[in-house]
Amino acid sequence: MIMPALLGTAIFILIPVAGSFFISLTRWNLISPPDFVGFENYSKLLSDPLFYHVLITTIIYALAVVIFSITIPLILAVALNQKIKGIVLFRTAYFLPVITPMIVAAIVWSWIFDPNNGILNFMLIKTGISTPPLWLFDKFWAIIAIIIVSVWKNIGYNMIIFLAGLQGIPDSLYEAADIDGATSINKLFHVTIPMLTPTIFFVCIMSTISSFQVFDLIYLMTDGGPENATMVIVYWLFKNAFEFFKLGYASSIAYVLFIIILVLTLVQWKLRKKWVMYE
Amino acid sequence: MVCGMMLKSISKYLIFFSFLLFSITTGCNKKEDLIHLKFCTWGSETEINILKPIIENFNKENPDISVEIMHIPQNYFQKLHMLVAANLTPDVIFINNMNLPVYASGDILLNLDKKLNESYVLKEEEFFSQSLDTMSYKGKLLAIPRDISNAVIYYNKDLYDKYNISYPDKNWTFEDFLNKARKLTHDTNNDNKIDLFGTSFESFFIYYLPFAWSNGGNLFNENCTSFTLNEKSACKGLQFYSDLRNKYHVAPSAAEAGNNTMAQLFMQQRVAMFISGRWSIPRFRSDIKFRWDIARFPAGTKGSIVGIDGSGWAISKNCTHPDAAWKLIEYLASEQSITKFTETGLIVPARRDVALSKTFLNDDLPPENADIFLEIIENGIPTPQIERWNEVIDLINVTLEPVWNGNKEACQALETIHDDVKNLLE
Repeated sequence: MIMPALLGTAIFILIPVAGSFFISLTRWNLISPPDFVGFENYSKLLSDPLFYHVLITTIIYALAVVIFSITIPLILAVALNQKIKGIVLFRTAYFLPVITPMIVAAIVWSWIFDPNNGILNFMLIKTGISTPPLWLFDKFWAIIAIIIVSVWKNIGYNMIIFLAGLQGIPDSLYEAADIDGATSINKLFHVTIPMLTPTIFFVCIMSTISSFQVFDLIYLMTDGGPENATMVIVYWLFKNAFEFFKLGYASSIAYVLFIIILVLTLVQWKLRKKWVMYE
Repeated sequence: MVCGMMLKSISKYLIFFSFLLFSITTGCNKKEDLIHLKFCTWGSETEINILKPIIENFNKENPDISVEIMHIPQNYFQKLHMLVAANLTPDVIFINNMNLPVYASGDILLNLDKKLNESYVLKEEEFFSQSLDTMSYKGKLLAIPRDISNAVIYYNKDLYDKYNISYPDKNWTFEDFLNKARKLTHDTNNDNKIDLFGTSFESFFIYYLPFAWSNGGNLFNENCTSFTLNEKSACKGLQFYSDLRNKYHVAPSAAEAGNNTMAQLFMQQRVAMFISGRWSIPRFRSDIKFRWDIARFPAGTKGSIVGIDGSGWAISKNCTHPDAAWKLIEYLASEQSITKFTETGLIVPARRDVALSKTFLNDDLPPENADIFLEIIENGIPTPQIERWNEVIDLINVTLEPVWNGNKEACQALETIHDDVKNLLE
């Protein structure tokens, strides 16, 4: 019965995963026959200064995206978890970026960030900042611009998950807190957030994994520039594989990325016992 | 153990499925005696609209051959690479000189020397020898050229007149170029921001290498074993290009250009001179209202030297009917077809007869000095043909980025990658 599902997994996941490991042990440009080189690609990767630059850029990006796409949606979810008129409108508004195709978002945002004609710098100048950042054209600000777009795109989705989590908290807990004379701040920190920790944990793991795999925004907005300032690991992998046709090297990057994500997820899994509340 | 057994049974299924697929695909193509050719090409919509009738005519004239166009408008070489890897190499391949070495050393292209020598339709002497060189690798001709690309300076005659500047002449130098660019650079609305720049600035290699070549430098040594762009003459030329932007401020910075392309800025009269190739012409002819013309690239210490690139048609070694494929190439590269490609203004034809015809040197349409495109072929330097070109040029581009942004000296920056590039050349 499970054969069709298993077959799909095998063809599209298991075999490519195993295959790419073998490719990572070769030097291969897809056209000439592959040369078996053992672990040379891995040792080259670990001694490549660009790899560490790319890794640090990715970690900075991931850290910022994870922090902001948990805190902002959490605050919004608490604010929007009320029975007031027009609440559906707000929730929809925050969810819209999620269903906006990435290509549209990336193009519109690169217009917004345009240093000459962009609306963002136009407004910054109006508010009295005489030399606003050059955003995508500046080594320091480019990654921040990418982070802003990513967080903007993630907010809606995470907010919906938090809203679902919030609505699962039984009213009886709040009633009991009221009887004990708790203020709303007390209730937030002693009822809402602890009860929400399983949801926060889920969002945290998923955001970490997806932000280590960021590719589309970089491909569409910066091509890894300026001066490699937004070169993240998956875009670098793509460049090696499909621009330089270094399939072996690219596969070794993929495996190193896999190990990084695996370790991070295991660490998060272990640490959950320290802060995640289970009833 | 378990895993191995599972893989074994899975591979059985895989073999079964691939047989199934194979029989389906081959089953469809079994029309008696009709030779099917797959022809892959890139190109804008206008280019494809020229190509389609040519292919239709070819099919009509050759009832035993049926050519199917595989149009790949974006990421052409990535997709072609995948097709080759999947053993689905198209029979006739449109290719350019930068990507030729990869496929040549992968041994997937047919040697066309003999075919050209024996052809009754195409003659070697009908083509510019430089363009045949761009389509050859290690002395073997692997594709029949369609066009040559090189760089010239487009300039806005109205702006030159407005600021009373004499038009560039044949022998103008880097210094003249800078002087004219300075006189053309203006803050027209007095907001302390420059609105009109003397010249364009792009960090693509075909625009910056001429500054090194014309100054007596070169990218690599003669047999492409060593990196020489860090040598004084070369990097001084590149430094001059960077100075245009950062020291003299006669070219826009990346941020000043923003999301606009240089072609757009030229059309909006916000840059007065524009370094580009022939491909800009169809759009300029239809969209520009002011008067414009082209000039040679300015001369450095060694004269005015720009690159030579080109594209053309190759035949896959896997092709089962190379004679039919050659017939198609003969048709595509004939005077008649190349004339059609040239009519829109898009290309500098690789054929001498079309290049010297009225179609190319059109007197009624700008640019007036179209013959410059042909004059500069003689001195041109072909882009070096190395297998890892994409990687090498990417490394050089990333290294030059801080130079273009005015944060580093060209010579100093290029010195740091000398050994890395040398390693990539081996």
